[in-house]
Amino acid sequence: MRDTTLAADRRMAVPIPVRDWRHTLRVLALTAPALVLMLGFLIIPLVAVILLSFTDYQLGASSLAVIGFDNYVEMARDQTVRISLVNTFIYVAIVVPASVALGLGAALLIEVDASLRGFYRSTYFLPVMATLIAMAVVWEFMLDQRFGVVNIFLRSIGFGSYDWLHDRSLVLYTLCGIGIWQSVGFNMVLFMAGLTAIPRELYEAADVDGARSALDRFTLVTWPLLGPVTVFTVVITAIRAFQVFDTVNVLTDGGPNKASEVLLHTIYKEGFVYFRDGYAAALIVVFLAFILALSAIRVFVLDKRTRTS
Amino acid sequence: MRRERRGVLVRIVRHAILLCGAIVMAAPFVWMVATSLKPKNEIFATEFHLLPKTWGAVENYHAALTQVPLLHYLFNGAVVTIAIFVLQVVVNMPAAYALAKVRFRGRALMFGAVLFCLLIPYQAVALPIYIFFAQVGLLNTYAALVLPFTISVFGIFLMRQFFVSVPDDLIDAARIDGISEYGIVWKVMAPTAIPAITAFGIFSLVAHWNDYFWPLIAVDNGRLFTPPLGIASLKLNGEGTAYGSLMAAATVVITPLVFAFLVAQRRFIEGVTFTGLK
Amino acid sequence: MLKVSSLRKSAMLAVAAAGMLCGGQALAQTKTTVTVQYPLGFIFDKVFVQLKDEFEKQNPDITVSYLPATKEYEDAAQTALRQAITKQLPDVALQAINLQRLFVDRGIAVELSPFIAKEKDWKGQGFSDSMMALSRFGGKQYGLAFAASTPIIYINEDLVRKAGGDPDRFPTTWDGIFALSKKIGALGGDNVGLYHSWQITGNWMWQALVFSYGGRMMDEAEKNVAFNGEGGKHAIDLLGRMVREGGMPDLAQEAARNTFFAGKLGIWTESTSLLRVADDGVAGKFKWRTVPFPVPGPNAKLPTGGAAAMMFTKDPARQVAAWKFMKFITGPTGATLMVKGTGYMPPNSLPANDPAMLKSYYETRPNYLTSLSQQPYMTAWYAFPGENNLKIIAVIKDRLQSVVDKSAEPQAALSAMAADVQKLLPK
Repeated sequence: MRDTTLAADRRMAVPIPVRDWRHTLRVLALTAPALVLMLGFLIIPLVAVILLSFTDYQLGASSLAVIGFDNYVEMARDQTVRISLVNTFIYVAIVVPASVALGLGAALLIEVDASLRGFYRSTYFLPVMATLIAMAVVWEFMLDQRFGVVNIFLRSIGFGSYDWLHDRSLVLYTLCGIGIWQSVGFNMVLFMAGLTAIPRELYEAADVDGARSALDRFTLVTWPLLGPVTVFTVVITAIRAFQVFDTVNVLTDGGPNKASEVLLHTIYKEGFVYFRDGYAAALIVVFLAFILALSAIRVFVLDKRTRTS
Repeated sequence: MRRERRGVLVRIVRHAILLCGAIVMAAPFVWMVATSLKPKNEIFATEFHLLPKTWGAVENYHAALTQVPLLHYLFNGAVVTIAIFVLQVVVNMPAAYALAKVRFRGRALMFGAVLFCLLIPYQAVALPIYIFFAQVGLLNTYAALVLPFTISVFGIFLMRQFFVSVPDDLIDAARIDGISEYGIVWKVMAPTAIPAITAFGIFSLVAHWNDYFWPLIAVDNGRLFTPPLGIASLKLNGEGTAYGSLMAAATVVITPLVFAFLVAQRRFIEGVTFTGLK
Repeated sequence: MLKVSSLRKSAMLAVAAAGMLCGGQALAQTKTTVTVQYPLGFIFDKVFVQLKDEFEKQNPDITVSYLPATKEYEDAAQTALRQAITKQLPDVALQAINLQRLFVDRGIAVELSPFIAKEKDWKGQGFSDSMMALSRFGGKQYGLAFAASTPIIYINEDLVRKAGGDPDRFPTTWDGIFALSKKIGALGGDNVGLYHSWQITGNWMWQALVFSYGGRMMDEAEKNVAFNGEGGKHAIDLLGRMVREGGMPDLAQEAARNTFFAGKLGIWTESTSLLRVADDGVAGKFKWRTVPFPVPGPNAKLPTGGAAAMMFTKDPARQVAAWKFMKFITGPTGATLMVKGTGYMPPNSLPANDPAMLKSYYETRPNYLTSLSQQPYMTAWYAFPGENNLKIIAVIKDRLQSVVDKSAEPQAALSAMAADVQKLLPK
């Protein structure tokens, strides 16, 4: 019988004849539901989105015509799409470094000493699992120009109050702030896991080699060994940031005047409010391309690391 | 890096910094609860008062619970997330086992497909699924909220990694005992995989309880709203300034999660770590 | 349909639980229920409660159930389009007069002629030809006009007097208004001189400017945009002047409303529909009145705002009940209740002349007469043809915004607007 399994396959003690139809049935029983669902809810829709992007389909309309690259051309000229992309990039560019750095900082500080560790860990992690929609609404109230506690506090220390969510020059950065607030705890937990995985002996060895100060320990041992975790965290945070939607939809509706318009929100508007589904599909393809690029970074960097280390 | 004895100064500085951060992290929660207890005139005050002077909780919570059927939304959330999780386990665990421990043609292909699908964010495929559901009349049903998530390539991947490390002897013994492959999944693998299943379960339950994008488009009948939709509709359709009842509603929606979190903290954080680091 | 029994069971349990939780309203078997959706809750909520009470008194076998009010007319249309897809349409819906054609084109609205044919003395009940014309498409009747409005100006008499103006002789030209507005702004103390509600639903106030200069939205053949013609050029120029000369700030519509109610806004253009809301909002803090909208011309017109009731249900039993409700709210009694609760004009022709209904009401409330006096200028609120109507409205609004926040020159914004809209029209 031909051995048709992977080269990296593991040994199996009780060999099962690979071509046995009973075996096929067993395998199907195990994998069929998942396969069917994967096909039906992931792979076919993915292909459908790409195909749809070449049509002028509108849900509820009577016609469907293939229009080639027209949607993409329109997208390139669409000012709203351009603003949306720029805003999304700005959002990612701010949220990722900030929440990763703060997450790392929090993890380091919390791990350094045992006192109140559990309390800090819980408090920092709370925003991650609280329903973002609900907390966004709370933030909106806290940021209200007249009655919000943030402005009350600012006024009491001598600064003026700001219209955090309605001032065109501030709104995107306000949303960044909420995004950072929500992500720090997640990154912190990942870094904490990475930190505890670093063997004690390495620090002792570094100590012996003359690395005395905390900074030395960090740069020589901690940071290099946190490499994979850091890359992972950065990419995950970036992907999540790219998918920002909830806060925009509930707090600003992309406004004022597109100042907080982001890609997924534009997709939502075009696809599910105006029902211009062909156009929305083209936007989705662009969205997908960026997410895939981000994921590819992770695979590429980690792969390189494992090869060089 | 866990030295137990640190200099006093270091400890103070550490606490100072972490406490500031903790205040920022916890502030919205504290303010949310505090506001839900205040009457209207205190909410619209322009000076800072944390605790309410007069009790406004009854009107606020009453309004929150009656303006929209908030408790029913919580019920919907529970039904949907539990259904999703149960179906996810039923569908994905056997597949994970097959990928880990059963040799068959096309296994590499299937695993490759799983890895590929891991890269797809669900919002990207939401549109065709929505169109399809619309055509067959499945929108505005519990099925619409549950079905698209029953496949979890993330779950398959996670479980597979875990299963791969289970010693083969266990499985071989079961096979010799005459247990079917399908039976092995539940009788042999599942018991050993409880930590992984719990971790995945927490991840799944929280993610789907908090999900907004898909329910927003799949459902517009108020009776099927999940908690996020309920809050959003309360805010968008209600008076912009009914903050007391809005905060009360937010508190009601957050409480189950926070409660579960505090009770099962360890599990939660383990879950994130586990699923995060694979 | 899905045949997973456990899901079905849990779904049925859920529905039963939902039914119990909702007090079993929906399970009422002896009565027919009519579900109704209306927009602009802050204007209509109280009115619709009154309409429901009165209607149920006269029709004890019918219960009226309201869906949550949508924010404004575009939301109402978007919601209905989505409800058509998710099969959640209400039985009766109030849609903006200009957006009715969306539902006619997509076959969502039910044709009403069969129901009218069964009525005795239709015209005698006040359903005049001009009222019916507002909802006639392709010769067929698809709606019953419920409320009509024209753009007017609300002025804060106290501020006007302080600035040296005379409310009794309020300027009828924009130049005069700008001069006054500058003086009001100069009073200081965060007083705002002028606000033109350009953000209003369906670009209504933009159309008002264009039409008031004799312009059109599209050409006769409805193939090309025409708002970049003479009328449009004057209109966009005017908008720019409002910002530069009149000192109009870039406020959200609700914020402007609140500013007027707080007594800080001198000259405010808005729909007559807000009369009642303004009464409640101002609550006697200062004296105010309404004056007509400037109509420079030539051949000036003003767009007719408002809503019409449309029937969406295709179920014959529910159609009977729905028809009764629609007839009631647009009939003389309903129209009277509606007018007294808002500021809209009644499309129905009976109440205005009947002393028992509105005749004496109008006599003691001159503010209501402003809009009525503009009836000779009324023309249809324009809706663009094709599938992209709602997107066109959003696109126009964006271009107007760029003029108001000074990020674009008026004429440049107008050309861009024309180009944008032309792209979205059917080829």
